Amino acid sequence: MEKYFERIVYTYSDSLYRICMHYVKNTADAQDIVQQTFVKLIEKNINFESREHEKAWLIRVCINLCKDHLKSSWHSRVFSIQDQEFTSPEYNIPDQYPLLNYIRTLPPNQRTAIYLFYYEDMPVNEICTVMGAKQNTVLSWLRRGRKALKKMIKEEL
Amino acid sequence: MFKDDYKKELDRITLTDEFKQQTVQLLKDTAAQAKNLPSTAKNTVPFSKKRNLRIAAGFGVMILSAVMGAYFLQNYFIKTDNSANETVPQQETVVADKEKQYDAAPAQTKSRVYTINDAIMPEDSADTVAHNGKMDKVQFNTESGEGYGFEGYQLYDISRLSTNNLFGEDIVFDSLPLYEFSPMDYEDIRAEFRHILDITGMTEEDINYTEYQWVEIVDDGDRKVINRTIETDTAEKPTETAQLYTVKVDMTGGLVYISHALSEIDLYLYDAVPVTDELLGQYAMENYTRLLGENTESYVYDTYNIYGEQHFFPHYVHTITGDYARDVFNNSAGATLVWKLDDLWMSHNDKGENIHFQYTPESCYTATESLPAISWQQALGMLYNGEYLSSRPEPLAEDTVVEKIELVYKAPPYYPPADYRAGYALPFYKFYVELPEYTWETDKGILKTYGAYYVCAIDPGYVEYTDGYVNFNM
Repeated sequence: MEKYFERIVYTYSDSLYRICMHYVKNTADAQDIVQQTFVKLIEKNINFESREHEKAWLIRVCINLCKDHLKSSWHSRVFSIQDQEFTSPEYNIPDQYPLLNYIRTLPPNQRTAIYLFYYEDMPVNEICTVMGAKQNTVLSWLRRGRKALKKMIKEEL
Repeated sequence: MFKDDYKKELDRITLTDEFKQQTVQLLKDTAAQAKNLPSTAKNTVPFSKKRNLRIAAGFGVMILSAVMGAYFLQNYFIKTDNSANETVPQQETVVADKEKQYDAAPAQTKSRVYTINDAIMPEDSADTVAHNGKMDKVQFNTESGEGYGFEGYQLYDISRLSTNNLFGEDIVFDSLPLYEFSPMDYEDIRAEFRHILDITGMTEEDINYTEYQWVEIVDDGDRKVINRTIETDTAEKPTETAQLYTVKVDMTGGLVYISHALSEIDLYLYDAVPVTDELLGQYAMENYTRLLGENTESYVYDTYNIYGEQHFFPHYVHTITGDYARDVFNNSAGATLVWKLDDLWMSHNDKGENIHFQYTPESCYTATESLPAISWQQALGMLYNGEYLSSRPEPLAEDTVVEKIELVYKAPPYYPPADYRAGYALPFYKFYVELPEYTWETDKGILKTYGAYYVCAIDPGYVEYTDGYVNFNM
């Protein structure tokens, strides 16, 4: 059993952490979500057909937990608004990750699709399974995300 | 190259070995508690399964209705992944869970209450911000509520009112925007429809615009009314003054009406769904929030009728944007006078055989410049000073206790189909006050009634009310 836990943690934790950093504000929250994802796997006692399914399940749960975290953030912080300027706290990322900063300004669907496609080298049909979306929809997210990133990077240059 | 740079950047984001070891230990502890031994094995439950949904086309009873064909829903709309959404119970346990969760009257809970001691009375306030003259005072039309009853919430305890409202005593703001309504024109409607098609993977070739309904509008006192209706089969304006009212579209066996006047898209779907409102919300979040994006929340809004029977208001799902005012707007619920950006209003029949979704496109409401706002303490002072709007005409006593405060957006009343929404939605503090004269004893305890009182969150120097008190009845 310990070997199993070591395998899944050492195999997947960095990937899940990188997904979390596309959503949450800080490393502590991201680490929390990574651990919660693994705990859910243990609690659900799911039997997978293959390693690919195992990975897809973990990614899906991780994304859902990130969204839950985003939803709960309004109720736990104090802030003030001045005029109409207000920046959502999940957009504070250190400057050494400029591309990640751009990607985090995209809608969540597009962020996830771009991460899975460009970083995980996941084919579109697998992304469809992970995100529970049709192929045209995933392609649309990738297209819009690429277009938006292109515009942002060009403007910066 | 983007991909290489992106990979290099993310490769630097890793967890420490120490953290990974801690995580392994955490899992061991969790497994020891749960005594579950996970495994990867053959002949196991598939990771994903599609739910078989039966969709029948039909016409809704409302002006606007749409029904999707079975093929359309199964292949374009719905993918269900139960293993990743472990919070959704199976349908056979629905009724039992509902009884367990909702029928028990909760024990009385001590919660924060507000009195005149928490208020900043108008005479104690610093001078309100002088009107800067840059814009006219916002007109907020009210009307008499006589004969329509009053806005009340029947609950065993105020803590049972679950609206996920974003009010917080410590949340400070010095200004808030208004939201101005503007009806969609033909291009807006087509753009919104393309948005739905995009999400569902269909294209415009899959649909056929079959009928256009135009109206000619005239002024009738303070309102606009329909003088004449014209139906055509092209998008060309039949007369100079005609405005587009409804677009009727055929989609692979189903029908969609998109109304210009109401600026909503109504969908009627015949489906087998869980019968409780909480499960409806979860079901919608899994399958239909592609209309809204991934970042959504839902909540159940339940009260009791005068017989002590529990009933539920429609279940709301709306987008969380990260912008406080927008999220307050989207969250505002409880009356049909409030219009929300990008959300689904949905309900189902008692047997769970059909679902009605009403989708309000974001394009209908735009934020204006922000206006000076008052604090909840100042609003509480105005409440005790009698400066409020309510469908309850009786004045509040000085020793009245406020049991809950919310921040919501409200728009003036309007009456479709002839009447158009107009003007602005404004932010209001909503104060819940127990009405001791309306209590009922049931087998679950004393059923109380709470009245709603509203004080505008915008500095009073910027708002002008017409008529008497407002009727915010549903």
